[in-house]
Amino acid sequence: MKRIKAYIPNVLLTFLLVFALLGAELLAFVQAAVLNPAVFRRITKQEQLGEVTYEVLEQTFSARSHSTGIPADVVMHSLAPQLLEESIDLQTEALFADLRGTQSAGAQPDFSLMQHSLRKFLEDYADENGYEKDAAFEEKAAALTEECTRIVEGATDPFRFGTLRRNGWLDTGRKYLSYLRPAMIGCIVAAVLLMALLLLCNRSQKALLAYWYGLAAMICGLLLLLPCGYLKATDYFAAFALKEPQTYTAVVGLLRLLTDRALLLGVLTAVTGAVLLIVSGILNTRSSRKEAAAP
Amino acid sequence: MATEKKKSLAPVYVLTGVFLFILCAAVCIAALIVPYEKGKTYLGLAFMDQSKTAPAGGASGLNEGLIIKENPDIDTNPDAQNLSEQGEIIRPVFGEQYAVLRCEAAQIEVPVFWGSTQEMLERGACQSSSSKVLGETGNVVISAHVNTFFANLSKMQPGDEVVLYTEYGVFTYTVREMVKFENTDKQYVSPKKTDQLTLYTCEAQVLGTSTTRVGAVCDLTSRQFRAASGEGAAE
Repeated sequence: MKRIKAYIPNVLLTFLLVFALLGAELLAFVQAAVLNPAVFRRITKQEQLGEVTYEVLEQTFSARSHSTGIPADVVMHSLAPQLLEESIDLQTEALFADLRGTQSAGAQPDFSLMQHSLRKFLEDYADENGYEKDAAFEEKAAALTEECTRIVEGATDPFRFGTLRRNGWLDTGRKYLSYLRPAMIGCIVAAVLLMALLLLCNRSQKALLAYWYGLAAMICGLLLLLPCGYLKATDYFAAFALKEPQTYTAVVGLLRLLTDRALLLGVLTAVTGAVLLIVSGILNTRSSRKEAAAP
Repeated sequence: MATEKKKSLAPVYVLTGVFLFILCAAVCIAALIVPYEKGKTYLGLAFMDQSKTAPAGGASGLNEGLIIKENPDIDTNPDAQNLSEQGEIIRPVFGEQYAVLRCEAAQIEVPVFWGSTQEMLERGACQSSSSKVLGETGNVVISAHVNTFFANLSKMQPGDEVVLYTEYGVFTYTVREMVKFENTDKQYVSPKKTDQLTLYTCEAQVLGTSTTRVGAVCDLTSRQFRAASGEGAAE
């Protein structure tokens, strides 16, 4: 009867501890992995987004040359994969600065070389064809330069931050971001309190204490591990519908990386739980032997 | 006796673990039902590609999987004896070259593909798949880039002859008028009840693309089918 009285509160506390741990882990994961510009920069480098974007732009401007008469080289020779990669990183920095309400370094992607190259081509072309460089010429040249810059800037936004901004998701994200840290701290405090209560309930039985802690960690790890394992095993994110090469590479690469990290977190938590359960078994066996050896 | 009691508790601990796991999983599933129902449509749209193909490159991944098929077997010098006024139309497949367009007066000879994509426009002229197949009654609409295949389109004059050769027939048109229209103006490219061929391209510009289109509207002068062409004819 005494054991049952102790058993029920332990089950309840462990049940609550699972969710406190799960919440703390997930919120810490969002804070450290999802909302971390370093992760995006890593994807940019790892997936060679500069190269992918360069190829896309090369094909875009080659195709456009059939209707504009402006050879792709005019634009492309002043763009390099490295420059495009820097531009992607700058857009990432700017988005996270906006999200956190801080000022970004203010650096803008520098496409002035491309703009000069385009301008020079247009002026040479106008000279060769006797096209008067009047206000209309200036207007057309400016419109063309702006259009080309817009195409390049659009291509160097593989994570589609522009879409997030335009649809107001940035404001929503900012609102939820303000709750993130307090919620995480709340979950950690709750987990510590629940662990303390479990300690209190099992202060004389170390084996049982390790069992309840281990069980909570094991379940928490499995709850992370199973969905992430499913996503990884089925390569779920490969079904991403946007097939624009740079967007697909960036988004799918990012989601795969986050899945891997969540999976790792789940494995670590589950292993911690398993170790605690084994410790609990060892302690239990020892105490049993001691009891058996006692006269 | 004490050891026996402790041993007998082992299944309880195992069952407790299983029970707690099931309970926690059930709570998680229950908590996720409402968000899942809300986001199900978006998830389905975002991850709808069940074939899970990664784009191999190209400016637009939308053309992934498109097979552009050139057809060098279209005879542009048919024997008049093998042509008749009756015959069957062979409906082309999207991305397939199904005709050759020739206008000697403007020095144009270009393959015509069924459908229109960036990649196809790089290989020839494209016929809008919403227009009529050659041989059907209605408006046949063909376009190409001004800096490549239709560079000489503006040189056409009323009265010039335009011939379209397909595997199943030869269709001859005469230019009725040269037109200029804005890209938003659909009067020349919309369906018609009479036989008509509309060729158009961008207006050649020194700087950039133009929103103005130049074109040639042509009337059908002869429709001839090759012997043993089309399904019906083959039968």
